[in-house]
Amino acid sequence: MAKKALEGVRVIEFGLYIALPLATRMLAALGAEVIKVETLTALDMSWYGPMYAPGCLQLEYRPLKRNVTLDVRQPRGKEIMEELIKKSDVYMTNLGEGALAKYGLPFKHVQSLKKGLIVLWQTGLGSVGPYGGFKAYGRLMQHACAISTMGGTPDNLGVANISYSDYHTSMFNALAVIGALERRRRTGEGCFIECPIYESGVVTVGPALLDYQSNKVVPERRQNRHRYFAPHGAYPCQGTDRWCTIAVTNEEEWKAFCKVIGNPAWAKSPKFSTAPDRVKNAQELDSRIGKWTSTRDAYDVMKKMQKAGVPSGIVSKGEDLDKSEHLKSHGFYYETEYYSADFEKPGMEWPVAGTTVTWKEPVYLSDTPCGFGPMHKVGQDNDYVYGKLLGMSQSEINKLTEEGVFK
Amino acid sequence: MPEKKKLQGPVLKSRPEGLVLKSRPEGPVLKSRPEGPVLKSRPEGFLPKYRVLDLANEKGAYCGKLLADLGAEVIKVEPPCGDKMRLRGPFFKNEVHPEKSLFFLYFNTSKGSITLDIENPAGKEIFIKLVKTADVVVESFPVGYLRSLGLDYPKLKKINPKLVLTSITPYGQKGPLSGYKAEDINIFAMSGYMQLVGEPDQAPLVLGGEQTFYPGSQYAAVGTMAALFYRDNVSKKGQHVDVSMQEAMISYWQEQTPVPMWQKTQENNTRVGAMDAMVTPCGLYPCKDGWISLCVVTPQEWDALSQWIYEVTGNAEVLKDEYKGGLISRMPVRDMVNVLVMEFTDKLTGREIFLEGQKRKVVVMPVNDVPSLVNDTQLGSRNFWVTLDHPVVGKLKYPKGALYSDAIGAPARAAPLLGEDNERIYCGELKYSKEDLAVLRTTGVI
Repeated sequence: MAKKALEGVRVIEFGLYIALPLATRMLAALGAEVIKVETLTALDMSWYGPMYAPGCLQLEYRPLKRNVTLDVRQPRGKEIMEELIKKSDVYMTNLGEGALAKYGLPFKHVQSLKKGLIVLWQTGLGSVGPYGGFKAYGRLMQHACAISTMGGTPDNLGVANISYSDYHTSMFNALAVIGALERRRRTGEGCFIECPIYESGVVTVGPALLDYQSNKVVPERRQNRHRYFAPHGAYPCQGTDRWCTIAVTNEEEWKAFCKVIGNPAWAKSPKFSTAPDRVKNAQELDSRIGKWTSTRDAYDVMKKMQKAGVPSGIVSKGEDLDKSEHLKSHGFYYETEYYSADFEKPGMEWPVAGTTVTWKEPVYLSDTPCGFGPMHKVGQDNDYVYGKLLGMSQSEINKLTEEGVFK
Repeated sequence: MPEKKKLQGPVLKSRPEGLVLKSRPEGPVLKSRPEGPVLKSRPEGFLPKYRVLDLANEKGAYCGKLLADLGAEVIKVEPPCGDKMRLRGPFFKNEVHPEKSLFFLYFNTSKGSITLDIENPAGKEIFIKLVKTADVVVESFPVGYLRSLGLDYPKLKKINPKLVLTSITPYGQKGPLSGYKAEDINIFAMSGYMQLVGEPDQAPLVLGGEQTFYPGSQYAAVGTMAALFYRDNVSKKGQHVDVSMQEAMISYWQEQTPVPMWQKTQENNTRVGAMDAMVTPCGLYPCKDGWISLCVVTPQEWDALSQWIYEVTGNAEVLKDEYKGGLISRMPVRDMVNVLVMEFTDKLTGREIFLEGQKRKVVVMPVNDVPSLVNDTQLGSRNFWVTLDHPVVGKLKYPKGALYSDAIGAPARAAPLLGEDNERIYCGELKYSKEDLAVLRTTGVI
């Protein structure tokens, strides 16, 4: 097996939802030993999703991670958490300050457990300040971070049915941890890092923040039209809800584009002769292009445009991603088992609900390729972690299991 | 674009005004905002010893920015006429000028700049000298371009075995689409994200702010740092880090499980507008002065919200057992729940709902626009901004980044002028004389 970049690094994940588990998914794929600590007494709500196959969503977050059950609210549970942290390089959580204090695990204390420990705390709107301690969900962050006001139509905000900035946060989390590991390698020092979901979304508005300061410009919601390029949009194609995007960014591409659509007379109109003309008359331009695309297959439009050197791409749906020869050539998706949650039973007894596909980390490292593999059951690694790592005897593990400490 | 049947989301219909933006409550102006961190006392940072040669265009510039803002020495290698990003709007005071592109200024903080024509044989030779001094080269050229110059990874590896080459391209280095041309909107569409943005029965929409320029670079920065960590810890060798912007963007909406859904139901995700299709209540709700967004995931959050709704509206319906539960339990009664929530949000201002909601542990978020971010109290209170002085555009405040830590410094300098570091690198390091520099400049090498 190929070596992994972060081999030998141990990470404790104590958190839920999307942004934190995705960061540790990445770290696990890079070879870190990630131990996800959770309790069956307060399960991650995302076990309910998706509706059509509950449980399969977990494959998006759990591959390659070790998993232990532990109830830190019990005194012995808290002690075991401390022992785990002492055996680790990195501790990552997105729980609130109040909850962590209640468990007897405030950050000052956690940091004192081990020299060189790297602690990452992912927060919502931040730990301090007027909104300090406020909770956030990524789905709403597109509004808080102004993204939804920068796209869309004049009437409607451009809203994505996605937990927008959670993903940015996840990569900041991962970046911070690897940076801190590198710093520790050099200096021997650990550190404490906070990553708010809010800030990680706001940084994706960058140029607009400067534009407002410099020019008092507030971004217009211009549908798919670009401020500087035209044509630029998603054009309707044959079939139901089928679209192909086309973006013309210079004169060369405009000429090539006109050729593909058969050099119609209208394209020679002075209304479209230069980029500023096209931007000014984008509405008419778009409707003419839409007439041309609407009788054609989206893939055909894309291929014709690409052949002529015009940037284009269909609006993919799940079926397109599934059938994509390109993604197959990268081995982007792989198939594995997932489980059906039964909150009354230990995680080890949850049945296999089926198999489905999940994605590999989209970073291809030539010497230390990212790993991929199955997700572990909830509590699957109790014996390894508590026995081998912490040196508990089997009878002690059994006892603590019976007492509900490992629930 | 041919508008299909105009169909607005259920909430938005009843708001002819449209948006909160006009009547947005003024965020306190931060007159007393402390100045950004003083550069002298800047912590060492995460990557102080690494040298990154940044050849990337807009598709990969954010990767170099992330590394530079964390302390690496990132040197942009620009063609003598300047990076094309310099000609990309918006511009400072709307003046089109290669040193005034705000797009360039944002994506190139903390970096240096040298000019070099790597297509010119003499320029290529200089580039090879530089590669010997570098830890990382970041590039986002069309696939095959570096090979055509004899500067692909196998060649660079021979020159400097410790080098990490990071490539950020729309579809990665291999596969049938690797040669496809793509702008932001095309990558956004091909990733499937676009299928999820906008109103049902209307065209799919691209998100504002050219969002595909971020995820690929974030993955690239993570992969680059992992490669450096492995090199210095274990192998003493570099490697090639290859990132597909399409796949990065696919992973940024994975919660909707597009492919499992297609395989299991033969259905595709689609646009649902301002309201979440699954979680209820979750989305945009009208309030006294515009819009507010809120989302209820746990049973406790619903209990808190429903109690509050009852206190405000006096409508006991909302307390009924059939509405209780978490995440998706209110799916069957979605319309009724949304009506109950709207009846409540309509009675209060956005700010009231935001502050009181958070106090009650209900996740409520304001609908901010760009001006409200620039003036936001929370960001202002946190040292989020750093004021950087640029020789041409002067002082502007820039986001410091998303990470807060005593171990991490702020961006060190504003984006570089074209060739600002030529003398330092060419004369100071590579020991060219000023006369040589004049020759190189006159012959178009730098």
